[in-house]
Amino acid sequence: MIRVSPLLSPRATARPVAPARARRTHAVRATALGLTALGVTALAAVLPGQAAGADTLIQDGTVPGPGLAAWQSLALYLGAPLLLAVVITVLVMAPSWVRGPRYRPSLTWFAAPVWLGAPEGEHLAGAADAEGAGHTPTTVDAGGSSARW
Amino acid sequence: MPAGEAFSSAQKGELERAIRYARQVGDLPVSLYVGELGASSRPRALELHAAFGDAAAATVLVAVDPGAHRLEIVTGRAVSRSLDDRSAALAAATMTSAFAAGDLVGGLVTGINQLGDHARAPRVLHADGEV
Repeated sequence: MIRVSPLLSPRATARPVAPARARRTHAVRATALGLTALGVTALAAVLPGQAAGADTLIQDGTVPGPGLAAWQSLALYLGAPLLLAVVITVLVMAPSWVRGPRYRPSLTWFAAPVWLGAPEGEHLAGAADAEGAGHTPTTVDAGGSSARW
Repeated sequence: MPAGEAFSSAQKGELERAIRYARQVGDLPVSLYVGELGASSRPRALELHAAFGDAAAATVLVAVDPGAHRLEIVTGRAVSRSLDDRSAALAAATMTSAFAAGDLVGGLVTGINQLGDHARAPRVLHADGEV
């Protein structure tokens, strides 16, 4: 079964299902379009005349408001951007401030010694301070590894 | 100049978890020291290791001097049977590569986990019943 496009079909022009109501709608649409075009043209013709007589016709936006004081200008054009920059900086830096200083290989170590799993009964500071003392016992038969970075 | 805490509480928790892991998985008691070791880091690490007294033979000390870029892993005599020097050197390489990138805690966690994994005695079928 071959379906013929309504545009190609000769019957399409004489469709019995095109009632008077549809034809009326077409007419209304065409009229509305014409009127809109006419209105736009008329407005375009009138507007230059209005611009010429702007001193007599007061419109929104044509009347300047009171000017800004010097401090207001400074606050608006300098203060507000600076404030915004400060707020953004704080938001970006806050997490690292909260976390505290972190290890950086290029910098010196900043913290006191930490010993996790320290020997029982041994005070951390005491063990850490006993540096270079010749009499401190040393593990002799120890294995392990040394490394640098 | 020591000022401030070396690790946050969350980081300390991570390190303690790693130490616990090494103890559970490899039956390896790891002690971690992070601080200055002085000019002669190895003797100093051996001193710190000796502070464990009788327990020293069964203890692994991981001593890090972040400022001097030194890492010392000291294994007691009893531990060195399950964790040989080669495994310690491998873990040290893991740690130092992370330290060089600025990741102190991550390097320590990975390294201590690795020590525990290496110390884990491989399961063998004929010995499973005996252990």
